[in-house]
Amino acid sequence: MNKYPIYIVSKGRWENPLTAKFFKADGVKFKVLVEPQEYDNYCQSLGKDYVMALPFSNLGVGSYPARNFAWEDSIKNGYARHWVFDDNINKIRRVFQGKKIPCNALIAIKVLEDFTDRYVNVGITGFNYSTFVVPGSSDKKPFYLNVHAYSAMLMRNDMPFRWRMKYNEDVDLCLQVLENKLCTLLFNAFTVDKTSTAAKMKGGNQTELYQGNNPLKKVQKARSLEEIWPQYVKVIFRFNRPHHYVDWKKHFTHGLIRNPNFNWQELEKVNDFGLKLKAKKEIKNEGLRKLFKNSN
Amino acid sequence: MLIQEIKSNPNNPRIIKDHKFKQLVKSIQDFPQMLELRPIVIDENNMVLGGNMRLKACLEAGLTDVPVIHANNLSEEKKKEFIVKDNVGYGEWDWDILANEWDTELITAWGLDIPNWGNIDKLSQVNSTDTEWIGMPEFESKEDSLKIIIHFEFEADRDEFANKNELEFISKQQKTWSTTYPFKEKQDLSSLKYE
Repeated sequence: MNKYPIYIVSKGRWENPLTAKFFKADGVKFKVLVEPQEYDNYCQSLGKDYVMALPFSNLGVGSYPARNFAWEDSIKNGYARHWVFDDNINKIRRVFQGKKIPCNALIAIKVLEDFTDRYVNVGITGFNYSTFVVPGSSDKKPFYLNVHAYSAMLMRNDMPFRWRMKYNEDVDLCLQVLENKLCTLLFNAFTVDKTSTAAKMKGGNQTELYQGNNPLKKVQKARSLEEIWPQYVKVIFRFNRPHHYVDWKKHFTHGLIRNPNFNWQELEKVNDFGLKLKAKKEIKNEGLRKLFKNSN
Repeated sequence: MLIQEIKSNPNNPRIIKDHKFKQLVKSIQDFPQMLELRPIVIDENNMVLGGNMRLKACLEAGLTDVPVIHANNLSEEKKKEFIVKDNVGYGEWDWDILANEWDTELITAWGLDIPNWGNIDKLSQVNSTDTEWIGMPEFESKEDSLKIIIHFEFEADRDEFANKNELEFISKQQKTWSTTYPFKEKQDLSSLKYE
């Protein structure tokens, strides 16, 4: 069982609730937070035990009120941290020898929870996107310290910060955390596959916030962040479009503080958390057959 | 009082480890006045009620005379109570004050047990992600591969180059095609899963 409660914020995607479906298959306990008018649809799709109705609907400000609801619900239930996942994640992978191999979600979540609790000053822990873990850079570091975390995040509950922005809400929250000398962790050793919302999925924020890929909207999004954080955020032109830019490494150099109550002396060099490499179908590739053989 | 006249208490429930005993001997040698401020407590038969370990350490340190206080007329029950209560520590250390105001090496030499916090230096901030990856699933990165990147001005040139060299490709994106030499087909990672 995951140590901390997991919330999936979802809207209009009861027909294909990706994150919830693969979590169910992997034995993860979670709640999908939905607006009241969609509650029955989600219950039909996932089962009542996995769905929780929000006390508001159609606020038109994006997902941040639902994320804050998750935060308060978790505190109310006595937890020290909570997870918030986007609803368009369909896989978790373990990165090993440059190969991004599908991994049981529950075990990966436990690994991140365990690692996070070893330190007293971690505000946010997140999974990196699989596509952002690339040879020669991110696949050489099991995690990044003090960078932008997104999409699949474990939050410390006693922080005084909250989600508050319509756009780039995750950047804003990470900046709140880092400016106050807490740390963020972004894992490359375990990653998530995200389905492109713009191209493949209806519902979510797509229809409300990102409609049309309007360049003016993009400038407004980037500017709204710059207005709040002029010391950290610049609006630049990148990938042929206006974009916010934060030099995370330059601004946030504080380190992790080890938890004195954690038994560091008893740590083995490696702990696989029970992970075993299993064949799901015929392994046709020779390199993978070798990896499988060496792992078993 | 002459040390040879004092009787060690055989029923004292306290034990002392070898290295702690050596610390106590050194402590007495370094600061003998401490014994006057905190003498050994003995009963009417010169049997030790409080300070059994100190007595042993004084013998080891080669002292012939030690200060004592007599506790006469205690019942056997009260003597037992005294022995235990004399060794009970009711208070707790404020580790924040000790860490900030006291010299850790000195207080350790004086015999205070520092709790097991691992490497205490590590309580300061750590920035190296590599050193922290312990007790975690193995993370082994792949050797960087060598690359040749060839740019083509026109699609026809790219096609001609590929055909001429009978190249097979791992991926063909709109602008970028990639392959390996020798050619290795794309790995179907969905055939495996960590569970």
